[in-house]
Amino acid sequence: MKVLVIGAGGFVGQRLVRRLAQLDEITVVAGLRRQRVDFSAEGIEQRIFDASDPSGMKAALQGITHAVNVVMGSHQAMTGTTAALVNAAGAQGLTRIVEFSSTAVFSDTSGYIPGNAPLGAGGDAYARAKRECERMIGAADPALETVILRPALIYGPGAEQWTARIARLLRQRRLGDLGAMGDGLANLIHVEDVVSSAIGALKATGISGKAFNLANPAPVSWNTYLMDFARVLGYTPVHRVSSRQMKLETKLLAVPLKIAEKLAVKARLQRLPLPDAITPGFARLFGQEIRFGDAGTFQTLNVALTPLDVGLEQSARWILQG
Amino acid sequence: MIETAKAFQNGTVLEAPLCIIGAGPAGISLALQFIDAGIDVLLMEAGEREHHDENQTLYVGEVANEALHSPLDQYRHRQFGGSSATWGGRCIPFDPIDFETRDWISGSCWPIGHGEVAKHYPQAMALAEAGDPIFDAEAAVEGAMCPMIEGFSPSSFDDSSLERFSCPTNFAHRYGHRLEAARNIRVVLNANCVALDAEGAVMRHAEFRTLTGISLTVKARHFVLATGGIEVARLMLASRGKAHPNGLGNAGDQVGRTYMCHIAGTFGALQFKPGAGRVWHGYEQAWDGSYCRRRLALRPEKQREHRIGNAVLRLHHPRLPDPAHGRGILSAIFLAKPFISYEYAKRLHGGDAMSAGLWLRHALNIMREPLGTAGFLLNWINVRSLAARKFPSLIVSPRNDCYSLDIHAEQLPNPDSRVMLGTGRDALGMHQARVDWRYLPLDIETVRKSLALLKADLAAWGGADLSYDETGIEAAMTRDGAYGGHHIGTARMGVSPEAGVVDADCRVFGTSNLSIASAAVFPTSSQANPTLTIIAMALRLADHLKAQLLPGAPELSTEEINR
Repeated sequence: MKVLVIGAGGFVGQRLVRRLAQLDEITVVAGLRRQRVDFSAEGIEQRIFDASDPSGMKAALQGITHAVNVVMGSHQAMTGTTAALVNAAGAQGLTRIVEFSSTAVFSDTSGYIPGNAPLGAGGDAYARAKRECERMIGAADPALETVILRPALIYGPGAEQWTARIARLLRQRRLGDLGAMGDGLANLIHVEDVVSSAIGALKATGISGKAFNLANPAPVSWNTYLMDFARVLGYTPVHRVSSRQMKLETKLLAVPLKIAEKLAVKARLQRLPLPDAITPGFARLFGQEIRFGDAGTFQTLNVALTPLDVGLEQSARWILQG
Repeated sequence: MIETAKAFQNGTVLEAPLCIIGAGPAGISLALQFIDAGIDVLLMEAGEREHHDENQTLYVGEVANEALHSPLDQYRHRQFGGSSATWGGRCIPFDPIDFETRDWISGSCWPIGHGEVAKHYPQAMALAEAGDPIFDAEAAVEGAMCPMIEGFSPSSFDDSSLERFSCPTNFAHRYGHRLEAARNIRVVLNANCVALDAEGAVMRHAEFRTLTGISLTVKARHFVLATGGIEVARLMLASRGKAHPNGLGNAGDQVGRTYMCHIAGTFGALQFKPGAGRVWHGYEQAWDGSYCRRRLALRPEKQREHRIGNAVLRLHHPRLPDPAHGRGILSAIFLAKPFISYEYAKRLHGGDAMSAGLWLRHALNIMREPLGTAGFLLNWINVRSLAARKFPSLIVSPRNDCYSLDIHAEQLPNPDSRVMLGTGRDALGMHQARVDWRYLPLDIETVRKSLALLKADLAAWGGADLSYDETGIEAAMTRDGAYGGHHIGTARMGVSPEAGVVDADCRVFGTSNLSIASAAVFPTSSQANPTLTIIAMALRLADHLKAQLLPGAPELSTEEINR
């Protein structure tokens, strides 16, 4: 099995390439857009190409039997990559595509969402792009095996959004025990479990055409996640956030902080240590009673999930050791 | 979903397998256990989402001795969330001895053991948001809490026993959204229960009325009365019928009797000697932010040895009204009395009358330490007024290392301490409640002996002296009357209808389908504040009801009904 990881320079991509490199039965090729990471130093073959360019994709798929698409980026980058991959696949002898999507495709829904649930309609540009990619995968040549993986919120060492950002907000006492605002379910998945799921999706038989939601099947509440994380980080006593404080964040501070963040990106000052914004959408998430995970998914993909306490301890170690 | 009965058609009949009357900590905790459980639940609440005077007025009643008991519309709230709208948040479990038959205390028998309730304390603590169910000062806070009195190891008291605090959580604000989202729970506001109609052993229906004149009938397989202890007695006594001429569940003339609060007061002068060691009577926070505090809990073997009730003592700041304390902050709070709610002002200030001279002496205290007073108030705004998890109470160290003692003692069951029906009627035509609260000589003896035991322990240690007026104990313990807000024992649990109103499962004797979730069922009052145990007992009742009502549960046999 020769596997091309498209988007190998990203957070999940890098980890996936390194894990695949350890497996005897797999030869891994890192697909990069730019030389952000040098895998060749680790003895891993790398191919640098523009994944949304059909000819570039065609060349990169030479000799590849399996492809995993973990490209993140603009609407165009994501849909262009999936389109190029699906189109080039037949000609190049590819047998299986593992496409990374996201549970964001189910925006505007609540309750339990299994992997075969119909996709939602609303959501942001990211959700729309991911839905479009999923449709392209669904319409691929039936001879080609396709598997869609939809990670929920990825946490763990290295995870910026759901580990590093959360830790900063806990330290600043801007998140903590959210009371009634934090009763929603934390649909988290440890980054190593995402990687294991991708490996499972490459290897498992009889899963072609299926989509799997990757989230803890027994999610804890956001309050539990936030408080337990604060505890292992040593940010105690955990601050109880009042609804007044949360309103101040979402209605007053979020807009200027978001604008400052955008300006910083424009001015190429991403490293500027600006405070994180707690936008109304971000705050709403903590109250959402939506559940994606089911235990059957991880049995099928042969993944032993990382227990939350272990995941949180690893996360805290990563944060505290800088 | 949450609805208002005011929007219903007059004469509407609602049906559900389970009807809970009263949406306070008990009713809400109980209803939460049935979310998505497979049966529909009606949660009937007399009040609205927030306080409204016209609803609260329905709590007005008569008090036999106003010096001994607060007006009946104080300390309890007729609104969604019930009295959790005003509680102080103190969460303490009952002790094993509280459940024992103590031969020196008449009526001290619980038909269930401590373990039956204790197993529900962890979940009750979680619902009350009072932290881990750890009540030991050595284990509650990482690295153990600092000692209350350094070097002092009392023989008669446990000083590592803790009280922990809820936010204090308003159950409607905290859990209303979950009830609102639940598809099988229907909360009906503005629904005042006016009658429980039973025919023989079976509760057929309950009648509700709004203040706008709309009548509702609820039919259910099982009813739970989850109101406060005074309202439980009023509703049962007012629900008279052919089969129940003296009120529902009152064949043994037990309803409304053994009404207990707590015996409490601030008393004595505990003077530490110079160099006696560090004294700490404040709070510490556990990892989750919940506040914990040590107190001196009278050991059970001492209760047995001296044949007295349960009690706890806390170190306390000097009495506010006496300006001799010299503390600006205490004087500022004393002078701010008009801005403090009745429930909190009552015990802070006692009944002392204000005079110009007194006012001036307190003003001088403030002027003597203006910066300290201002700093304290600013911190208070931060940790109490604006905080979602509130600093539980005023902690001020006295200038001269002289503390008073805050005493909270068990009130023992006294059949002559009663909640009855009064002569007056409320706006819905229901009899108002009449409270005749009485205490026993042994109640005062519990305090007297506790003080003597502490005095002896301190004398043996040598670091402090406790002095008090032996003849003034009763006056001090009854100065503010019955401890407000703790309404216990009016439908006590017993082994038989002669001994109580409800059985060990909280089911009303002589009925097959009416249970009570309230401090009304406690046969004894413990040293502990009742809310945590009210919640734990509601959770225990939820387990019984699930076994009985959920699909597949067996029907009750006639034998069980008549048991």
